[in-house]
Amino acid sequence: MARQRFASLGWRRGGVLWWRGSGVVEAGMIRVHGVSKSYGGARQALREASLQVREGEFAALTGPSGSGKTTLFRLLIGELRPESGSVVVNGRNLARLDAAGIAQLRRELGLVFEEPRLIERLTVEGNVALAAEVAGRSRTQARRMAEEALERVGLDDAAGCFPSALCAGERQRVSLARALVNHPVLILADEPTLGLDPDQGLYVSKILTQACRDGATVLMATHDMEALSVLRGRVLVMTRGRFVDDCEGDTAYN
Amino acid sequence: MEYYLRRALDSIKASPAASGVAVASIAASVLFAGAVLLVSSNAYRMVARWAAAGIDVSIFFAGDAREPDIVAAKARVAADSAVIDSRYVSPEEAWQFLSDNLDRSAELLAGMEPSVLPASVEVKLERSLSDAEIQARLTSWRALPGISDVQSSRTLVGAGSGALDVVRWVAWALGALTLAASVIIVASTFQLAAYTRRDEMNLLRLVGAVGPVYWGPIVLAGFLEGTAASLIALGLLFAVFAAVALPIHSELPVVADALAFLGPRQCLTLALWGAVLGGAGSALGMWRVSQWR
Repeated sequence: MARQRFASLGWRRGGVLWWRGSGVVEAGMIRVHGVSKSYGGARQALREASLQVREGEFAALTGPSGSGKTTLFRLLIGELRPESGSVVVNGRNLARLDAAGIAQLRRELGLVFEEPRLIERLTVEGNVALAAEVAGRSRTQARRMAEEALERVGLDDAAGCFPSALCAGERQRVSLARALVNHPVLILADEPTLGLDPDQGLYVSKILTQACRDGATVLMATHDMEALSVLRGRVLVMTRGRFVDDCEGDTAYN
Repeated sequence: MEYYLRRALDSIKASPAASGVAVASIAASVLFAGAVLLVSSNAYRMVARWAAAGIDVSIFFAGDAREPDIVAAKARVAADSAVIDSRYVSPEEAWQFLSDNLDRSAELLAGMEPSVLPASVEVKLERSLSDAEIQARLTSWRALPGISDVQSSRTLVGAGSGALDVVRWVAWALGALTLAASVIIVASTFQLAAYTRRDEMNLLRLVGAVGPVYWGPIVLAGFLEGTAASLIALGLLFAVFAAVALPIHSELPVVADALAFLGPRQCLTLALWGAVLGGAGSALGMWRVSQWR
C-alpha cells in the first residue's frame, strides 16, 4: 500500500489521490486489505478479502447471496468495523475516524440501497434536497442542486410529487438522485436494480455509468445479469467472503 | 436556523399523535407545578400581609364574666406600657363586624343571637416586642379573672408560617416527584416519536448527518412542543384561578384583596420549565432510540 506522511499538502498525481487529512496519505479510492468480518463468530462474512478500486473506475460486485457483498458495503461506509485488516475510502483509513469523521466521509459519498429508503412525507425534491442540506448547503442551493440531480435521473417533472405516487423504478431513481446531489467522489450502490423491471433496472445502471463518466468512482453490487450485460467496467466476483474473480463486464456476463 | 425550524415543524406534523401525547404530558406537569406555585404564593402573601399589620392580641371574656372583672382587666391592659391601643368590643359590635365581613354570606348568621360571640378587648402591641415579652403578657392576661382565652396574631402567624413551611416542603417533594415522572413520561413519549421516525433518523445518519444537524431538529421540536404545552397549561391555570377567585371576591372581600395570579416572572419560569422539559425529554428519547440501534 502506498503510504507516506505529509505535514499539510494534498494533491492528485498519476490518477492516485494523495490525502492530507490526518497526515497519513493513502492512495486509491477504495483500498480494502486483508479484511475479515464475522457476525457473532458463527458466520464468517468476509475472509481476508482485499480489493482496490481506482479513482474514476466503475466496478460491479457480484456473487451469490451471503457472499459478503453487503457486509463489504457496510464496512466501506463505516457502519461496521472489521475484525482484521484495513479499509481506506477516499484516502481515509476508517479505523482512525471517529463518528464525526465517518459522518464527514458519508457526506462525500453517494449511497444507493436495495430499498430506496425515501421519507414518505417529503416530496421527491425534499428527499433529494435533504442530503444537500445535511452537507451544509442552504435551502435555496439545496433545491437547485436537487432539481439538477432529478434532471440527471429523468425525474425533473416529478419534483413536487410524494414518493407514494411513484413506481418502484422511479423511487429507486429518486434515491439515485439523492446519492448524486452532492456530486460525490464515490458512489456505493448495493443491489440498486433488485426488484425492478428490466427497463427500469437498465435505466438505473445507465445513470450510474453516466455518473462514472462524469468523474465519480462507482462500486455497484448486483445479481442482475441484465445490468451486468451493459456494463463496460470491471466486474469483481465474490464467493464465501472472498474475491474469486476480477474481469471485464462482457467476460463476466458471458 | 431555517433548516432546524422547518425540520422541527416537519417532525411534529409527521407524528401528530405522539406530539399530542407529549404536549399533554408536559402541560399536565406545568399545570401541577403552576397550581402549587399559585396556591403557596397566595398563602404566603396573606400571611405576610397579616404579619405586617402589627401584633394584635384578642382577650376574650368568659360568657359569665362579672362587670368588675371586665373593668379591672381593661384597666390592667391599658396600663401596660407596650400597649399602643386597646379597645373593648361588645358581643353586639363583634356581631356587626362579622356580618359586615361576611357581606353577602351574612344570611349564614340568620337565627343566631349576638350573645353567642364573646366580648373582648382588642389590643395592639408594639412591634418591637420579642416573642418572650409577648408570651409573658399573654400568660399574665390569661390569668386574670373573667378571661376565657387570649390569642395573638404573632402566634397565629407563627403557626401559619409553620404550616406553610410544611406545605412548601410537601410541594417541593411533589414537584421533584412530578419532575422525575414528567421527564420519564415525556422521554418515553418522545422515544415513541423517535421510534416511529427511526428509518428517517437512520437515513440521516447514512447521508452524513451528525451533531446538531442530526439531533437539533428533534430537540427543537421537543422545545417547541414544551413551550406550546406551557402556554396551554398557563391558560388553563388562569381560567381555573378566575373561576375560583371570582366568587371569593364577592363572598370574602377581606381575603380577596390578597389574591393574585402568578407574576410575569413566575409565568416565564413555568414556560421555560415546560420548554426545557420538552427539549430534555426529546433528547433523552432520541438517545434511548439510538442506543437500541
